Amino acid sequence: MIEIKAKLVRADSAIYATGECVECLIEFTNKVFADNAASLENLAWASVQLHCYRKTSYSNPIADKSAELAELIGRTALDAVTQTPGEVIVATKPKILFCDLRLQPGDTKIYFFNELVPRDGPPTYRGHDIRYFYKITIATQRVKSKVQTLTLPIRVLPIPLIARPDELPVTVETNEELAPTNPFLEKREISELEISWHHLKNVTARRAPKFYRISNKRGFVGRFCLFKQAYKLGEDIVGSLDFGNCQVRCVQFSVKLQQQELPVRPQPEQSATGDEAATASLSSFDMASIASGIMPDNLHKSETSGSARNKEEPVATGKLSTIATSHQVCYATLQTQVVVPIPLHVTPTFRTDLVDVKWRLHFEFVTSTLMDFGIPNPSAGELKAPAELPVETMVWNLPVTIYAANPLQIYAPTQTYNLLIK
Amino acid sequence: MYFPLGWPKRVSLALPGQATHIRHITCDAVKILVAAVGSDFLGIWYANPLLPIAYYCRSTESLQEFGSNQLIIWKPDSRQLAVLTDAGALLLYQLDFDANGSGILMQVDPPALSLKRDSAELFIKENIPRLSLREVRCVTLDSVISNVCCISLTEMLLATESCELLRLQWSQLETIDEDLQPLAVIKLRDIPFYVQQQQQQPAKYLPPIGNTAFVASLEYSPFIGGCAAVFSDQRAAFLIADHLRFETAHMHGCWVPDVCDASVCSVNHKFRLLAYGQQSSAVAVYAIDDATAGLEYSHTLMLTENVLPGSLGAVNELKWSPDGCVLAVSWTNGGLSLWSTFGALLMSTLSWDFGLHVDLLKRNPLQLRRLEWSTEGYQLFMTCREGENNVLQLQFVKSALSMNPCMSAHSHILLQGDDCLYINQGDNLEQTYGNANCTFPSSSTARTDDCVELKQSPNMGSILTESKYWTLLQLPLNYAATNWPIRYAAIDAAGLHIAVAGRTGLAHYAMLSKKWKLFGNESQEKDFVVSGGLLWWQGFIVMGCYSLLDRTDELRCYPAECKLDNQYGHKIQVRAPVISLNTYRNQLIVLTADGIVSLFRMHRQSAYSINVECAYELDVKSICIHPACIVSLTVTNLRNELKPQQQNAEAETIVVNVCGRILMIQREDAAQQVPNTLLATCLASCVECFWLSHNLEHCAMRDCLWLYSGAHGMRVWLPILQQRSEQSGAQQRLHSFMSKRIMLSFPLKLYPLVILFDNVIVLGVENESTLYTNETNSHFALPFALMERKSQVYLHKVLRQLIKRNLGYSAWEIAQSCRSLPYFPHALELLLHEVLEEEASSKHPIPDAQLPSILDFIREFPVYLETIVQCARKTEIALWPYLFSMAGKPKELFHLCLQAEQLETAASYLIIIQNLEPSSVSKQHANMLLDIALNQRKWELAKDLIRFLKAIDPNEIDSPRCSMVLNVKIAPPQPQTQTQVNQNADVFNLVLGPIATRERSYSTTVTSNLPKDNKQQQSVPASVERSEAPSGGVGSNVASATVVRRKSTKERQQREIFNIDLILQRHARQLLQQHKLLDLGYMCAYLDFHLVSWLTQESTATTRLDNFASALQALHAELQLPSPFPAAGRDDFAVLRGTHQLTGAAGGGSSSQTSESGYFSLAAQLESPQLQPCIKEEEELQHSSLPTLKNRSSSQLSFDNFRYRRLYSLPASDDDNIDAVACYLNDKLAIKLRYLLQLFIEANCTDYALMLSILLQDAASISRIVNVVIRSESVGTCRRIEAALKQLSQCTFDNGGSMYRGFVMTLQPHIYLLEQYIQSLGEAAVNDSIDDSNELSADAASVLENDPLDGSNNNFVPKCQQLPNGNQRSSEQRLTRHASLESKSKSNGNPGNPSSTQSTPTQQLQRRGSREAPRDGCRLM
Repeated sequence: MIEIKAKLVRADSAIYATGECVECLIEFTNKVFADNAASLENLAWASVQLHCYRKTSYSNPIADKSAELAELIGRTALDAVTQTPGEVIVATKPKILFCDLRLQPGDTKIYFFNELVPRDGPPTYRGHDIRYFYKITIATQRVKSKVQTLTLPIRVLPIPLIARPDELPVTVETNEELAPTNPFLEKREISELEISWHHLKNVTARRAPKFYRISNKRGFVGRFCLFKQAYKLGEDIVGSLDFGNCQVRCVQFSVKLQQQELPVRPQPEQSATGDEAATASLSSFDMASIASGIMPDNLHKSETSGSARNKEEPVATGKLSTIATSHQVCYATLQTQVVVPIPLHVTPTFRTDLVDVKWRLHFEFVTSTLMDFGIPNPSAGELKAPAELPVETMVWNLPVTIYAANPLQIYAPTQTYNLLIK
Repeated sequence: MYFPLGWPKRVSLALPGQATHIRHITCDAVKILVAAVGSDFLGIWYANPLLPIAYYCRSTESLQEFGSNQLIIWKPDSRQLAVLTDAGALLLYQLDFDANGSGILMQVDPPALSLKRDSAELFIKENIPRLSLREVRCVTLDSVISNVCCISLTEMLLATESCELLRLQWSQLETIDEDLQPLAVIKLRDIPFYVQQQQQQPAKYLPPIGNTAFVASLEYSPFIGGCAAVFSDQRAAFLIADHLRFETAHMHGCWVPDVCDASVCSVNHKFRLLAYGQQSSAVAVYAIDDATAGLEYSHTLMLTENVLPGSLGAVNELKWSPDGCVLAVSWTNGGLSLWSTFGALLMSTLSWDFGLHVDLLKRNPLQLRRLEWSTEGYQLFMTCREGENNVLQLQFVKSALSMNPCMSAHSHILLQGDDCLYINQGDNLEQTYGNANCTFPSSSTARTDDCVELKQSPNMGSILTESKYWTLLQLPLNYAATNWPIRYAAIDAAGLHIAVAGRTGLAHYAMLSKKWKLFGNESQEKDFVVSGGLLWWQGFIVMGCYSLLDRTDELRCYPAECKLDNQYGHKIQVRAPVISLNTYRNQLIVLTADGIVSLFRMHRQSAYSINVECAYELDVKSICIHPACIVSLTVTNLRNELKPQQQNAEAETIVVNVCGRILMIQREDAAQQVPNTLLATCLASCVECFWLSHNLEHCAMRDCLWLYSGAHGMRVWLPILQQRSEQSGAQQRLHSFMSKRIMLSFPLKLYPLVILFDNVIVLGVENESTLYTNETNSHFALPFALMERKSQVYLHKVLRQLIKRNLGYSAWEIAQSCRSLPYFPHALELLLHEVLEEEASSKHPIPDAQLPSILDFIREFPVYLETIVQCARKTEIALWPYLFSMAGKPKELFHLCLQAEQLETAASYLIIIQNLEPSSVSKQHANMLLDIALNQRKWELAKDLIRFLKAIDPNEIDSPRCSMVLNVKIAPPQPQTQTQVNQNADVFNLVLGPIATRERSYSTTVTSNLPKDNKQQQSVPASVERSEAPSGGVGSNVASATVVRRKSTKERQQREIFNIDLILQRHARQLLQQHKLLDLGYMCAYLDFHLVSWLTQESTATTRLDNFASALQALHAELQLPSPFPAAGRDDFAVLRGTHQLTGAAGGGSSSQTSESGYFSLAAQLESPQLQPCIKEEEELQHSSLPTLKNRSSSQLSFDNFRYRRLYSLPASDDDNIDAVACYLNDKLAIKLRYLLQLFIEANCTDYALMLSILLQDAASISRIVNVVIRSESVGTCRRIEAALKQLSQCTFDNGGSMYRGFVMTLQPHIYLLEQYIQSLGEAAVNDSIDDSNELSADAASVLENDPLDGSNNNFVPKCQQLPNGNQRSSEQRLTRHASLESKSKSNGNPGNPSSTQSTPTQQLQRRGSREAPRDGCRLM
């Protein structure tokens, strides 16, 4: 009986960024049990491969590709498509661990497998209509028996490709660039992935805050301030809300972090740009303008009052899922903060040829024009709160971008995966 | 363990629509309602959500008569409030619950659909009660009421300015008619006051209460049985009554001895502590002595970091949190701080980063007046001293330990906010397979496409990781909406399940599935309240609770696996409310409010059912004032004495924390089942939190009790390990008097929340702050508070304590068990550093210095040398002499490093040697190390060493720095201890005249180091020096001496560099002689060694090659290439190799074999299944060794070869030669070799250039070299080159399988050319052979430039050529020659780039032809 054990070298987080190297230890043991006679075991071959699968309910014009792929693969040893439901969209070159392995009873052989996660593959994503997932498939076969496979799921985080490659040298230290190249002086090569990480750090750094003036048709409600628009997984989205000098009292509000799953269809032009337009129309100005003396009153009104919902929305919202909620009753609050945590297990913003996954903050402000209790404050005596408070609600969406975090900082211990071949 | 989060919220508690200054905020006893007073109104608010319920405005007449509102107190039943005015009157308000009708401020949606609320969370489930507020009465007394406090459900104490305490009932205030008749009037001037209560003697009434003094601040605690009071003359007192009735006759007071500038006071009920804030900005905390009921000084809270002394002002306000775990302190000059029970600083706004524009000294933005903790301590209301809208609300999260001390056994940090949990999982070490020592073959080097078989299993390693993200878990809305806030939270040992209990019921969460589980039946959830604790035990949630339905106290267990429902739960009734619980293995210990500790045994029957039965009960009333004072307890098998324990022995010891004192209750003897409270022993006091380390796998610190005591630091109660020799013998009885355990204490920088015993590290959380903007008027101008996980290694602290107590064996055992930790060397370094700093900087003589024993201890570990030097480099230079007087001379350590081959460490020692020894010594050592580094090819290190050597100021070489003898501390204090002796040579010279010129002695030592052939050159500057130095000295004029010195500096500097150059040259010569050309290349690159100039200077002997063939062989060996001239009989193999390499797999790596064979078999299957037998054979071939190869017929081989060609659709006409070169020289290597070739050509070092060209099979460069040689017109060189080429061809054809066979054939015209030339020159050139090299160098440049003219030189037409192997190939040879000429002219076109690898088509063709020849021959055979 042969036992195959596979364990990832990174035992504390089975999470990899695209372009990172998956390292895995695969152990073949000829297990000896007391009851049956120990015998020499023999495996014809074993190979390891990393696959990305897709499972979708979208109609896919190139769906027949999978059949083609299956036909192609069907005759080779490892038939990856049949292992897991879903179509293989990315597959690395299979690596052969060994051929004709002989194991004495009790013998153990350990093989080391490493493979780059394809740089351009999609991240692991589990959405409404589409799923992307990665698996390492270890396949082996005894002579004259079926191929046996062991799969290890891994999670893949997307690291955005740098859009402008000419930015690359900016992040590289340029001190020694001028020296003539001597082939004996090996410069540490800065990988594209490393630069991408730096880039990510820059993108998600805090910039000048943006202010949004919230008002509805009855007047000014408050001012929202967001310190950055791009976040990494695990960070908190921190914003502040100032209800001072309001004309309409905000009684409570909730801020939700929502994931939008938009299908990419042949006609998605306006839907894609529509969202952009919505963001652009949101008035925003940064700290610099305050410092330079521009009055905050120059702020445009945000288009978020309830009436906005009456209009036929041209913007496709896609499938929404709420990940985190921050709710506050702010009747008595003058200044407060909004802290929305971004969980580590969600998928960052990404786009493939089938789906566009975006993130947004969804605000709901419950407002009331009742600034006092309806009765003027008496000079003496009791003043009781009224039984009812008429309220109106307004909603507002603010897109944010979420990027991947360093996988090592995410705690996700993995177990060892086993396969017994009798 | 409270940590603030975010900005403080600013809230308005004023009348609706107004903005007024709030004077005081108080929550009622159950913290559901909040009362706030402005000067003229009282507002009642609901605490969460913060919504107004009712206000009462006072009339102007009332304000005039009684003064404005100052202070509020609630009656404990929340039905009445009393407001104290600044004129000293008491206003009584009645709060009535309006039962009819629903709640208030119900939000009503408008009819328009678009304006309606959408989300579930916006519909507030909380029912805000309808309350009405009315003024009952205004009470004025004869004297002004100065303070009020509530002492029981019905009674209150009034303090008046006439220095009386009036005890009266709340109900008395209501009765309007008659005069107020207090139950008791305590005239404080009449009761005895003690300074220190000793033996019940009223020792002194003195100092009495001042004449005008009265009670300014008062707080009562039932557990203390008295009041903390502060008088208006700033004296602090403690007022106690003998019985709990406050009457003059039964009362006495205690002056707090050392506090005479008190401002405020506050009482901690649970830990029975009294805190007095002082004008001096300190807070003095006193405990109650159980034996005498007097005051016992505990500790002082004093902010020292980031503040100037005295800048804080008096303590303004003190407030213990509801659970007694933290004390909030604010000062008059601004600032807020948070301290743990026993004085660990948790947070201080004075260390926050407020930005550049805020000067905390002048104007602190946080000027607070009143503080009030809200529900469960999750919020702190703070009122600012001035301004309207002055109420701030700061949000806190707290450690789950504060409410649920049984959570201390886990390795996860769990913090609870009011509706969320913060979890930080995993240790500080990231688990990986394989650690720093073991890198995987392909992860470190360039990525290869192979899977590698590992020889042995890599062990589980770990790497240090930066702090991980907090996982934030929000409570599900369904649960949080009605059960806010979180009261208890618990995580299981694996960190996979979390349970949470709010106001009622509970919910739990699975980390893996990321799903919450709530009660399916909401009424079941509402029917019980968790109290006393919540914990996980083998998949069950165990809790103490109160059932609202049955009105009973219970223990409940719910399985995590199935639905949360009472039908799956297990219930046990207990007699009284559960106060605390804990588990150890399968035992559950429960403390109930009746003072009984019950021990239950739990037995897990299945995933869904559990069996719990009571083992015994124990009355612990005798050890505590009140069961509520028991902070935490556990049952354990920890024992005072060490006995070999069975693995599953019953736990028999109970450890209890009573008001901070740790009591251990043991069994009387083994026969007795129940522990005896009479045998309770007190182990420690001032303990906030304790941990037990049971049977751990790795760390030797087993069976320890860990205590954290706030300002007193961490303590560990450690068993003393016995030496094995002692253990084995039966002599244990002899040493029965020896103590078995020891209590060690050490300070900690952070508040420990988790101790990872295996990793000898504590984890904690620290408050950090970040400033978002500098906009001063916005509220986010305040820093944003954050939490950061911090860790601290404690290993060195424990080791130090043990070594100090001469328990080296224990220390060694512990250290040994921790050796695999990545920070172990660092811990040793810290150990050394701490002791060194302490002892070396101590002003007093140290009777028994610890440093020697510490050093001896570290010497036990292989990292000794490294530790010493690392430590030294992090300490001040002033302390070095002390260190090295103990650790050994740096020189000796340096040599030890060399012996151990730790060159980097040795290099670190150089810096120390440089500082402690004369420069000459450090220079000498550096030279020594440089030599070794060069030999070991540590180029980076050599580079640094050269920089080091060049940086030594030559002047310093003269100044001796024998400060080693100056060690005052070690040497017995001598009376004539010199203060500061100017050790400079100049001074000696000045005083004594030049006795000995140090320069001379130095220069001689240097020359002795030099190679002999350079002595001549060296002696020139030395003699100059010799002549100059005395002249400066004779003048005995300081000024002139320095002038001379300056002059000589330059020369010396040059000499230094010269000296270094000599070493480098010597090494380069060695490398060249050993044909280590690559190393030479590296050396030149890293060390800035000018190879070309050196080569041109270098004597001809070294740059000449005598035996080309052997040199080529040596070079091949060095480059790890296959031998150029394989032994005869391996022909087949060589041919095979050539074809084999065609497939693209680089030869050499043994690991590649497996994958190759895989490819082959796969490909073969695709191609033609009928070829299988052949394939099998071929596979065998891959695996088997040479002998089998020999047996194979060559025809089959070639057949294989063809098949591959077809398979990989390689054009059969592809040039083999280029491929072959590319095969055995990978790209990088080829580039390096070409670079070297260029250098050698530039330096006119023809021999090596020729050899490299051959290696690169670069016909163009060879022809260039030949031309250069010919142009040089030196017969000797030409002869040598000719001989070399001939020798090479000879060798090649002697060994038929040489890879150069084809190439060498192309060289024949050059040989011929040379022959011709030599003949043509004839005898005339014989004489030139001596100085040919000089000429050659002179001509070199011009020759290279004039290359186009070569055509004239080459105009010899070969007549006939007989190749050594006998084949007639004259026509092809001619072709070859043309080709070589052509390529030559091409490369002349761009002389700067001779390394171009492309070759002309004709050349390729020719190469192929020559290559094909032997193969054809084979086939024919």
